[in-house]
Amino acid sequence: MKNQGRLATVLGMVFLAILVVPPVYYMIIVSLKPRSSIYRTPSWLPERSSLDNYVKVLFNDKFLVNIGNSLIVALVTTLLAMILGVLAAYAIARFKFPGRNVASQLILMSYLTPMVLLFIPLSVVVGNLGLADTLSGLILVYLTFAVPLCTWLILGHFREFPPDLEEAASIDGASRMRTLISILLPVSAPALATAASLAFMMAWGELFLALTFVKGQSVMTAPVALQHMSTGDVQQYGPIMAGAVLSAIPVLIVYYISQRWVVQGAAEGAFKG
Amino acid sequence: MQAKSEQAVVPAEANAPAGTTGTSRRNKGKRPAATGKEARLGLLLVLPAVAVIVILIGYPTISSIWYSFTDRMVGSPGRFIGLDNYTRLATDSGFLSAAANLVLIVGVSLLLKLVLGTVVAVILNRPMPGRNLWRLLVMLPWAMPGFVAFMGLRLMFESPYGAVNVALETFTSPVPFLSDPDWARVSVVLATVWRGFPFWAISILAALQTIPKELYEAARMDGASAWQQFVNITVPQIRSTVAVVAVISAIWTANGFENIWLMTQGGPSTTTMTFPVLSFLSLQSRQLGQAAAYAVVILPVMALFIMLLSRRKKDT
Repeated sequence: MKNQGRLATVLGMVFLAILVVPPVYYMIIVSLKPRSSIYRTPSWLPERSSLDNYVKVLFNDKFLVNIGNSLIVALVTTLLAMILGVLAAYAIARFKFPGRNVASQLILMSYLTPMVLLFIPLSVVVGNLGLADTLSGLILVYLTFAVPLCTWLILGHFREFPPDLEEAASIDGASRMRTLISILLPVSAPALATAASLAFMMAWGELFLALTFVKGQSVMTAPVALQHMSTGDVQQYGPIMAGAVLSAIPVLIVYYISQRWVVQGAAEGAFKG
Repeated sequence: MQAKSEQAVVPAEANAPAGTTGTSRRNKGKRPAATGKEARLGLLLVLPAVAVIVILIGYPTISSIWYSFTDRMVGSPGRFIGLDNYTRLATDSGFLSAAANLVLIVGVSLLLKLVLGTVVAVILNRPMPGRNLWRLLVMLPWAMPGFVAFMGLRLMFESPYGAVNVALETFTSPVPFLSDPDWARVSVVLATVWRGFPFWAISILAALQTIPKELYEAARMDGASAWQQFVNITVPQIRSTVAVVAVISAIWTANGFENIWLMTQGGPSTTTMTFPVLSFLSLQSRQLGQAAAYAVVILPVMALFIMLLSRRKKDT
């Protein structure tokens, strides 16, 4: 019986490894292969590994600029969405004002609005604002998913947290905004981390809107630049995979730091309502 | 106007819709009734987020619906043409293919994610050495950026020198995974499943962990086999979680763009076409009216998913 259990465990681990590892391994191997050997000697084994592809993509293809763009867009989007999200969630969870329920319904509905419905008129709006082909334009457009996401996740948490502590503070004469900053925000750190990480991860890897809104080489974010390289005449798999691996690293770091909360939060965002 | 002033005086729980009453009930008697100052501050705080939603989501949604009844192009405002953009769909091979793929690609992907997600969750729920590391590893396809996953997978499905064909070369001649219509669908489904199963696995795992161990112990005493335990205890206990995850995943998958765009761009011809890709291609050909129609036509399906989701939420 015990041996049978151990066998099942080993089989389970082998299954998980076969499921997840090969694509990841292959991407890394391709990124390390010298350019000539990807096509001529296709194989799963690394031969003559080198960092040439990384050097090429970063410096010859100026991918460093694109990584920088992604970083700016993801950070600014996250920051703005978190500020708007915290304020709105605080108001909806703790204040009585006309239209409170409408605001809360609006946020859920916009959380579920498909992006494909918005991007055509948005391209007109962004053009009229003179923000076509700029990072600011892209950030503005990214707020359409980041604000509802952050507000919704934070609101869920604020509603769960009993208002007793804040009431005690307000009896002591603390203002509503002081209470938010010194009491509610610190105890909500996990929810804030979840919302911020998810917004960052989504903004970092977003391709659909980025393809529509940033077209110039100097404003392309990482996914757009790589997609651009992959449609070029010569398929440069080595440098493309090197770029892909590089662009995965920041997101994986964010994920690793916040994974305790993120997975649960992603599910909760969906469950709470 | 009248409704507004009413709400300011009447305690919120009197006219709050279901779902928000929990909070208000807890607050009952503790909070002072709304004052003008409180209402003003509340409105002020919520205003920026609501402004973003109204200007960047509400207005574009309505515009999209309006555009879909016009022949608007980039640089020309277009005129009202009634249902022309929609009637054209009946003979539009891209549209027909996208409609079929809503079942073939989205539906089959969901089914496979359910099976794979459940199997992986059951494995991860067993005691095993380095369990936390395994959980991190399993989340990798979901945690990495989507474009990285799909660019890598596309490369693996290349013919004749992609990784999959190299692995299969002793058994078969190169398989045209991306250029044959049927294989292209298979490849897109497999890639979509690989990217999406971790979300299912981890959600189902969370549900598994809430099942009391005593249920299984009692079943074992009664001589139930592992399979009987799974069907009679596990399945009923995780059913409501699975239902919610299924709807969320359906919304995400039906709106997925990267998976198709980076693998096949909807091809060969239009065999792996989906609605987001159709809409994107129309915008590239500057036909705003038609692009909007492709986006609007899938709304009833989305509305159905969202209705299912809010029904589910009330149940749980």
